[in-house]
Amino acid sequence: MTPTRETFGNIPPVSQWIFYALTVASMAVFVWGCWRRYRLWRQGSSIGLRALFSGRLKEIMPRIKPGLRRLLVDGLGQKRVRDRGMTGRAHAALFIGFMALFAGTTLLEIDHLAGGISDRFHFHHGLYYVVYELTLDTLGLAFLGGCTFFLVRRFRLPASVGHRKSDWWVLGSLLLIGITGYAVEGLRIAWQKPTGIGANCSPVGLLVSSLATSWPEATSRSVHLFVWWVHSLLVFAFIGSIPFTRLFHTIAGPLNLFLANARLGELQPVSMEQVEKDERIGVSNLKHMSQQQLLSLDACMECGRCEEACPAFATRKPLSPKRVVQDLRSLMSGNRWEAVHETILPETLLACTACSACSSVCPVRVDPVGSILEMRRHLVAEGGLSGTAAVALRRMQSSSNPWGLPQAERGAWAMPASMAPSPSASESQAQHVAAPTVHENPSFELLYWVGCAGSYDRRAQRVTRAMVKLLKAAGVNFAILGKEERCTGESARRLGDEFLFQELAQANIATLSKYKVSRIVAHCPHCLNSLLKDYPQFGGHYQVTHHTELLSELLEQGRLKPPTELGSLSSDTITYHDPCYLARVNGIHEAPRRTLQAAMPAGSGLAEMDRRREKTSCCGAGGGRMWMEETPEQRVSTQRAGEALATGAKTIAVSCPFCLTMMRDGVAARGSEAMVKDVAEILADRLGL
Amino acid sequence: MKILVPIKRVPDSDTRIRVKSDGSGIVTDGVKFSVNPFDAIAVEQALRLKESGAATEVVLVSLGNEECVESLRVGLAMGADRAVLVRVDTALDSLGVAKLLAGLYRREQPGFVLMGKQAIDDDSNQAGQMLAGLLGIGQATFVSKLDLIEGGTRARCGRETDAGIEIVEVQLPAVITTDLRLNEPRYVSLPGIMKAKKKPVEELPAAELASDITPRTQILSFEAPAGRKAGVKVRSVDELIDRLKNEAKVL
Repeated sequence: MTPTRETFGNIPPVSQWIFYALTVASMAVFVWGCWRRYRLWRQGSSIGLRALFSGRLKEIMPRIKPGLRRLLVDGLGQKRVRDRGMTGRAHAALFIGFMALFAGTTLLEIDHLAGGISDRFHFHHGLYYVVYELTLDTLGLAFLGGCTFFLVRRFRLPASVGHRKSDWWVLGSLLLIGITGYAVEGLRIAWQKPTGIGANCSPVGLLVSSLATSWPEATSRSVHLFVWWVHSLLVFAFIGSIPFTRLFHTIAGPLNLFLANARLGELQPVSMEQVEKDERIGVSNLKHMSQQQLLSLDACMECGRCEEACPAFATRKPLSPKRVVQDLRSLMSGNRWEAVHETILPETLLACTACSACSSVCPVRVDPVGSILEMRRHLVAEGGLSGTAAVALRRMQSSSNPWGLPQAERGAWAMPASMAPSPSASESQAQHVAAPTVHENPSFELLYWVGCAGSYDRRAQRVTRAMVKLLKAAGVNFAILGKEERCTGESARRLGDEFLFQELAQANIATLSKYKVSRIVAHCPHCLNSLLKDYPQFGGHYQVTHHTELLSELLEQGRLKPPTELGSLSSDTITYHDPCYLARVNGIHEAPRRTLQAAMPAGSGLAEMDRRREKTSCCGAGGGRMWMEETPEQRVSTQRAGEALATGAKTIAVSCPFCLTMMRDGVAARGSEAMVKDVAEILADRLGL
Repeated sequence: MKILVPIKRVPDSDTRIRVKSDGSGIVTDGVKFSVNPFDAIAVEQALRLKESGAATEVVLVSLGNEECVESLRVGLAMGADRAVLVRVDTALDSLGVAKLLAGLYRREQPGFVLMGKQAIDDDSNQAGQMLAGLLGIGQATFVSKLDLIEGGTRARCGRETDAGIEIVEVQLPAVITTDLRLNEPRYVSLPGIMKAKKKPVEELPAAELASDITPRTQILSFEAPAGRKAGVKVRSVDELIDRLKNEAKVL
């Protein structure tokens, strides 16, 4: 006899009819629930869904390919979910089990319907049946394991995980559906009494059936029918409850994965015409958000990964990305579209360092940092910014740099300031390290973007000098803009002053066009990100590299050669702090390590921190926070410096002038004497430059 | 209650000031102008009083030519309700300013006048005091803390003095001049200024407010301060003490 089992075996026709009626009813509740949320999302600004799917398949495919990829990798592949130790693995188990059982039930129904047309269309038998049963029977265990894990975890709720009363139903119903599923199978085996492979292909079911072997067939059959009904009713209640509980993330999550197209470190430009038309900038009403952004609020599962990654939250500032998303969600649910700025307070919006850790860890790609920065735009336009950050912006307006120093002094870095304390004897004897301007070297191949910090900040000026020495030693044909370089406007844009940014960007783009610049090297990741991701929105397209990438390339090409003998090389341990806008936002984390490796004694390695590369933790200066004051106990820099010092490193290498300032402050606050140096400085030291 | 806030257009504090070679004034080419920072503090405080419900209207006034409208727009963008430009094309001294403001005060009848303690260009620090004198009303100067009390009929002010914070109460109407630590003015961005363009700016000829604004003081010449000489690095504490004793003769 071919191994198989009868669909709806032992289920009387009346029960079957009621079953189908309830199926339709539960699906109707499900669809109605989804429709209610969909109607809310529709209130957002259009995302051009029609345009996305218009045209021929050949035209549509390239448009939707990134979305499909995210669905596959982040959705089915659970890429970001898995990254959380046991919890991530338990979710994967639950997910795989659920998907398998869901697919199995669907196949069973197809077989049933096909068989209804003709017996010949039945496929639920033979080898197919064996594989089917074995797969579902085993993956059901993964499903149950996952459910149990999360139920147990919910009793000892981690601080970052959200909780609603309905969560007990969500997990409880899943667990009971799994258990009753096995019970139905065991009881079916008990009355059907299959033999050989037909029984052995359901090992768990067989084990359950052994409890009922002594039962008369009639008892097995009636208990089977009863448990089958319990199982079915649970499933119907479960389906109907999806849009009303946290389970809705299974619908909104994949949808958001498909539609979310925000790249880290990228902000949407706004034109003055648009502002005049709308009479506002940024988000003050939830309806100013896009349909996808509103949908993303429903995708949030309150897993708390964003909160755990947030440097503002870690330093007890009044910001949790999770709270922001949940607060916005409850505004949407409660039809309180206008209450955005009453609910999300200015101190919350201004606490964000725009480090993008929250958005980069979200398994369903909710983008808290994007929403925060859009709300910030509105806040700043309405006069919600004051103090030191306001001073920095006014200076960027009046002097084209946040320090408010004259443009004529942009070249001051070339000469070590005689009043500034010198770190080493060689530095104080250093001669003028002039770099050629675009006028002095009109045939330059590479433009060195010095940046405001590199130009005006006493400490960062030393990084600029080190870079110029390295570029000269490697024989790079480069030039600087000198007095014609202005602030990129990055801080202004992330602080919320879009038009100050645009003014600076347009001036810089005009200058860069004037000198036909195509390749740029920057030693500030904020300048780099702005030139790379902000400027193309205004017609400035350049090939931008970070100085660590260039240095690593020059080392590889042998144009910079570290001496083989140790010389004055210190054998102190070095750790490397990844800047957010370099490692996380732009994926550059290998080049600085390769450069450092070349500057370190052979065989020695970096003392790495736990949070590194894309998972690095902010120094506290991003998003314009560089220009804001923090109370000593709320300093992000102190926290991060603590992590760096815990590696035992005597030197903390950085590759961002903001990180340089912040880490130095943090190290000092911790009373440590560890050195904080830019990668370029460490390499220049090693080369004796 | 209406608050009258006079604001002055001055060279931006981050601008490097150069004196004309003939000493007749400063070079204004390429100099960015902005609202006198102390006046911006006064505007901010007036707005906070309005936001808290203690005041109902914030009226700005600036004395000068049409370029001052730009400064008034900044104040309007911060949130002030309307502005008056008193058209003056001649030089003014503190007394002239006080006379014009007194004229406007009589027209507007505000609850009180809130203004910067001084302008950062000439640093005279007299207009507020003279205004109170001309009007015969009370004054509280260098205010770093301001509370309206007794139903807005009096103001309790913290004044920054060399000896510490002095708390005074003044009967309103009065002239209150603001010091640096009173507040941190809000930032104004371009969309705010665009919006403020819809707010009214009334223009008044100076003659309507005061008959004689001829300056009583005369500026003889401008001179740039002497440049700072380079410092000297000393090698030891002993050398420092020695130099302080024998070269600087301060010990």
